Amino acid sequence: MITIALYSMKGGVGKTAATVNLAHLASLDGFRTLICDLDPQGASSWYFRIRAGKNFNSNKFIKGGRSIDENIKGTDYPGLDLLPSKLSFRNLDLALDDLKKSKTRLKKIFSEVSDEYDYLFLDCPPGISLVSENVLNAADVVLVPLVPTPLSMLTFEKLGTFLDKKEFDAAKIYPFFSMAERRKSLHLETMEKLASENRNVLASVIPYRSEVERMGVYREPLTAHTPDSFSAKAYAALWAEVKELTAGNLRESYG
Amino acid sequence: MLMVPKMSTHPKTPLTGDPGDQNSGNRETVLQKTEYYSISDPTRLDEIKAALEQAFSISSGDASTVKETYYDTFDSALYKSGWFLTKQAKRFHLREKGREAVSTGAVPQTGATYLMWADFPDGRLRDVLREAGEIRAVLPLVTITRHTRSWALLDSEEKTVVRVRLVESVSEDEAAPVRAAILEAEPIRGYGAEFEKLTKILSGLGLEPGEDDILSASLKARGENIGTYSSKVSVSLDPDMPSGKAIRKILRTLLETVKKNEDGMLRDIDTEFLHDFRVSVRRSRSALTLTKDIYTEEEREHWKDALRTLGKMTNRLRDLDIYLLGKEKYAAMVPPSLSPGLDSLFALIADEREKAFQEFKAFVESDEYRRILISWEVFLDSPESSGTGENARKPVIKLARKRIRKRYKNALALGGAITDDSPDADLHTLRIECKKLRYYLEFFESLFPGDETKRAIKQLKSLQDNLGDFNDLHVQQGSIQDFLSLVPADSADERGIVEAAGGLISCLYSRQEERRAEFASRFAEFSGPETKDLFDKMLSGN
Repeated sequence: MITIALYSMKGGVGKTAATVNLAHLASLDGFRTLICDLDPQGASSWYFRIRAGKNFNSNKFIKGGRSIDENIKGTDYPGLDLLPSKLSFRNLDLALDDLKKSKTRLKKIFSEVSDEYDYLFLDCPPGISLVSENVLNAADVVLVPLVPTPLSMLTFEKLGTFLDKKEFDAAKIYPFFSMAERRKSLHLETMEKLASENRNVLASVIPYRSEVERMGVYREPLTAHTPDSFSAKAYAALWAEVKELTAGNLRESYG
Repeated sequence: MLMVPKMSTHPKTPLTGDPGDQNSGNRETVLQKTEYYSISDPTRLDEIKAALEQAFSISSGDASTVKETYYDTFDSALYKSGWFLTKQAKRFHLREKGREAVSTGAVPQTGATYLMWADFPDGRLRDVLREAGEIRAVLPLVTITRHTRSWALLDSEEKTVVRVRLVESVSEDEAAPVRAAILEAEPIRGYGAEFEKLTKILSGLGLEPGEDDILSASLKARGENIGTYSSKVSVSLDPDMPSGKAIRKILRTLLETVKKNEDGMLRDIDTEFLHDFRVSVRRSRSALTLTKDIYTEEEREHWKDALRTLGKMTNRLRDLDIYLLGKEKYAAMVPPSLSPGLDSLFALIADEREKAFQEFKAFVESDEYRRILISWEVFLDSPESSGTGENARKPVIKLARKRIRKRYKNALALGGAITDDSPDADLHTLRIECKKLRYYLEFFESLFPGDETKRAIKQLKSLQDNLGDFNDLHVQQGSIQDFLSLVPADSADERGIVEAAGGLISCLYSRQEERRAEFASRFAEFSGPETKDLFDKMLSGN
């Protein structure tokens, strides 16, 4: 199983939309795919019309094992499952803090489902916390959506500093541009600058489009609802890159 | 580059089997499986839909009609691992049983009459065929027109909670169209309560889930069955059964396997037909060794000779098949500089194989072969084949225990005497002894309750694999030298072929030595207390 985290220090950068669409594309390729919604706001879960069970909470989540098994739910799409989040996930930091090996707990929890899935996507809450440290430990690839503005770049640099301090391997961090507007010269300049500085920047750009926002109306992945739309194609290109990264010698898309 | 995800070539949940067969019985409640309801009266479909609409809000999905031909290996390997392989026009489609929506297609890239995995382009279909079907070709089973209607049962948020498919099939027969219908209810993980609600409604309509899917239902409607062939010996015996009758039953079962493989062998569909044929003949010879004082000496000699003839005729062809099957493996052993010579060598072997096949085919079509088979069948169907000797009436359990014990002791003695300096022939003798022990265990498996026999076979298999590899590597070195005599005197490739053969032989030799080095530990395990315990348990009693 390959674990891909969608992580951003800032909120509102198109992180959940990317999680939902990339995971859906993975399942279309025939990969058994699981989304874990770690964001207490539960946007991923909401897009899939999935509600967590009444008895599920952050304590049960970090216990792992059977409570994970019981709370994973199938989406409307074959091969794509989701572990919904609960509002109580806002206490995840505290709950983790009480544990031994608190920084690798999520990695351990997910290792228990590693036989069942080919890809695990983590939709992470924004900010830097014990949860994000766990995510960085658990993930094979960390995708960081960036709105191409100088302020975002500054935040991204802070992430770099944080990674250095904690001795994380920056090689698995792959930024990509999200909510980008090619008409804005500021966006273009910012994108060019980062691409020249960071070899890991992915080539695919997710544009700023109202069709992405409308996902909230019909509550389906864009790649399922309007696969021919401009944005859906942008996600498909991004997925192709991510698939290449994670499965370099998988010659043909399975599906 | 990170790691490649391991593609599952099996459905995630063992959809046809028991999902709780591992250590966690609890998972059963989490992972339900797709249920299949056979609808014998298709006019009831409207009534069923009306009942579901009362309880669920239903979204009608796509309806589709396809004409397709189902394919599988002779031993139904795909079906048994939960896959349907179909062909529509030139394209093959693979779908998981119970998960209609997950399918993958490919067009074969060769013009082979009998297709196997290597004939398909890289991709999931090829991978699944390779893992499930291995070296077997896929053959057409039945052509149906399949009409599928899909419904999603929704909750109040319009989330799909159960998928339902109504599948109807029509296949053409000589007389009239043959119809079958199946309702498939596919649970969605995490929505178990809704699934149970559905099954209750169906139960209220007198519908209970069954074993048949649209393929097996279509075949049954035509009076056919799927998955009935297996190369394994599966004979159900009763401990008190007279030995003669039991042996007859074993031999009769083996003869059926021999006969079932004739056609595929003659059509040269894949190499497993010949292999299963050979193994059944060899097993029959082994079963005959149990007939002392059951059959007369004259009978024993006569049938031993007849079966030896059958077996002997397959030797050359099988040897050549093994070479050709191992081509990829051999190519990986020698340095690239030798591969042109190796290709030429393999071209010679392929020609030789064709000759051997024609010879073998002529034999199977000969009067001599027919005479042996028919007289053997007549004998096994006559009362004499239950035996007239003094041991014929003794209970088979006694015979089984006595003979298995003897083989086991022989194997221990032979293996225990083997040292690092023992000649190759000693390992060969042990290999034969182990094979006989294996056959006996398989013949009599049904007599021993519990899983001791299975576990004993597993222990034995590990040793047999080692001895088998050792022997194959030994024999192959010799036959490569023999193949060199096939090189035409004026051949321009001669030098390349000889070099490749030399390279190959030295690789084979070093591998053979590796196997020998492994032997001691494998044998130690087989001769250890754990295996002894298994045999003691199995063989205790009167």
